[in-house]
Amino acid sequence: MRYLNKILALIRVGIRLSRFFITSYISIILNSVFWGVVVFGSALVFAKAPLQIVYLYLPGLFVFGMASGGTWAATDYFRFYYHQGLTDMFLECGVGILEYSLMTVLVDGLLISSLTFMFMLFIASVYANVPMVEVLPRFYLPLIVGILSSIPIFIFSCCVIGLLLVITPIEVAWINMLQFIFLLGTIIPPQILGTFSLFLPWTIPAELVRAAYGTNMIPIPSLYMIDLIDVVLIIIVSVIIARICDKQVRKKGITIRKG
Amino acid sequence: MSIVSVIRAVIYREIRFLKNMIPEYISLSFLSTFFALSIIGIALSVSGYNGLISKFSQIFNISGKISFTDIIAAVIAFSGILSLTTDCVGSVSQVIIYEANVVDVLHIIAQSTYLYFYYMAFGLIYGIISGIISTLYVLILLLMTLGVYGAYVYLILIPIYVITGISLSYYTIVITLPLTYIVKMRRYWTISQVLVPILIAGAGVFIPVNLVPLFMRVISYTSPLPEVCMVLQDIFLKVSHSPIMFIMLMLIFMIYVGISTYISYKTEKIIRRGL
Repeated sequence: MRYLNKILALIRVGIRLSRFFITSYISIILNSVFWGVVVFGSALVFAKAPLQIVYLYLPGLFVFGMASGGTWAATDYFRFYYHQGLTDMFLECGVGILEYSLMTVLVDGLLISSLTFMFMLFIASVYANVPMVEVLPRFYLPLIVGILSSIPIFIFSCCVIGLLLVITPIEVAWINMLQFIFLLGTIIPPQILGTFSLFLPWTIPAELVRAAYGTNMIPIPSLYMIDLIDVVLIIIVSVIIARICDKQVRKKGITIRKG
Repeated sequence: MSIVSVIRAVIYREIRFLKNMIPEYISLSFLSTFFALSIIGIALSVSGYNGLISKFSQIFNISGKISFTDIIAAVIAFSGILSLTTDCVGSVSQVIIYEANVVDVLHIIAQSTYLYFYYMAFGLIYGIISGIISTLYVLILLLMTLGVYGAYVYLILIPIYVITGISLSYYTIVITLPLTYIVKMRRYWTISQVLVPILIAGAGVFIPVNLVPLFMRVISYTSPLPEVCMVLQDIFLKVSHSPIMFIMLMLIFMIYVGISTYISYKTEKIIRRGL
């Protein structure tokens, strides 16, 4: 109960904090949607069966958005806020990288990814020249489970990238490239990549969202079971990484490139 | 300071900064290549090899035979526009707003020269540097796909990239100066974050611009991108565009130089009144 109250308090603070960055959130959504249009719009025009692209590739966009949102949350925490002197203030208030990821998961993760996904579906329907109903999910239970189980993915990517930003002087430009690892298994489905991608932790939530369109590779009953194990493992690993990250910050500080 | 001295100063500054920008250029090259190949990869996975080639020929109205290598070379050349636009629009807008609102070096520049000299020189030099550096990866990839002939193709492309770079820099100056000094925008990164993908998505880049929905084309038509994409598509795919496109490109370039000079001059008047 104590932990639940703490999580709720963090989410409340996160929502209040997000009100200061509304223009940034709008620009992030527009940025994601229009970059998505550059790739998917052109691919839909070149494809013989555009709806197949919508059903196979677009569902992964939601989970990729969550994972990518996590990497940017970590970058904000250890680079953007660091330069403004806010990272120290967060740490003094007991808000480490894990707590920060919980704070931002609702707006930076769920809200932005959902809106981006919905706008992309709308634009895909325009490019594919089909009514909007055709591109909407058909099965809602796997979709809801997929959305919920992508929350740990946001936290996981935030903690992993956070650790990387603490122990190396890596630049934001490299993080921009690094986030594309999350494409494997999400936007690029296991049907294209092969079965090895099923072992990536972020593939299972993406498979659940794909199941909403009937393009999943693993059968749905097994998918729920695997997802449960996946979520528990991701949470445990994220907590361990976050604790290592916090310990490292307290001991040695944050490594930033000089000059 | 005369305009020539300002140009020399800007060249010196940009070359000094180039070292710090290497990770950004590598990242841009990687992302542009990745986007270009993803489009072909996604379409290929659902259409098959022959399906893709026939659809590509149908969309661009190509009468002769086209090979898969030609398609790859074409999308690589088109992808140069992605990195060029991201770099030009992003950097020029951020530098202008950053200098005015964050580091406050505007006083030093205003004391040394006319501000519109500075903005004109900056647009020109950054456009040239960006036109060459941000599209350098296209040369490497064209050499890999087309062999030595790729270098010849790149030599034809580079003047187009450079002219586009300069036009885009001046276009960004036209957009950013009023936002900086009249609207007084604080979150400077939002301009590049929103404007770059809207321009690129609206221009089509990889597809003919008439296939892009009208509501997305509107903003893009204010920039030189749709015309540049048509010229590139003409060079690569020999679609029936007339040579008038090249003249149009130069005309657009002149228009942007003219408008940005006027806007910079007017902005200078506003700033000096407030300084």
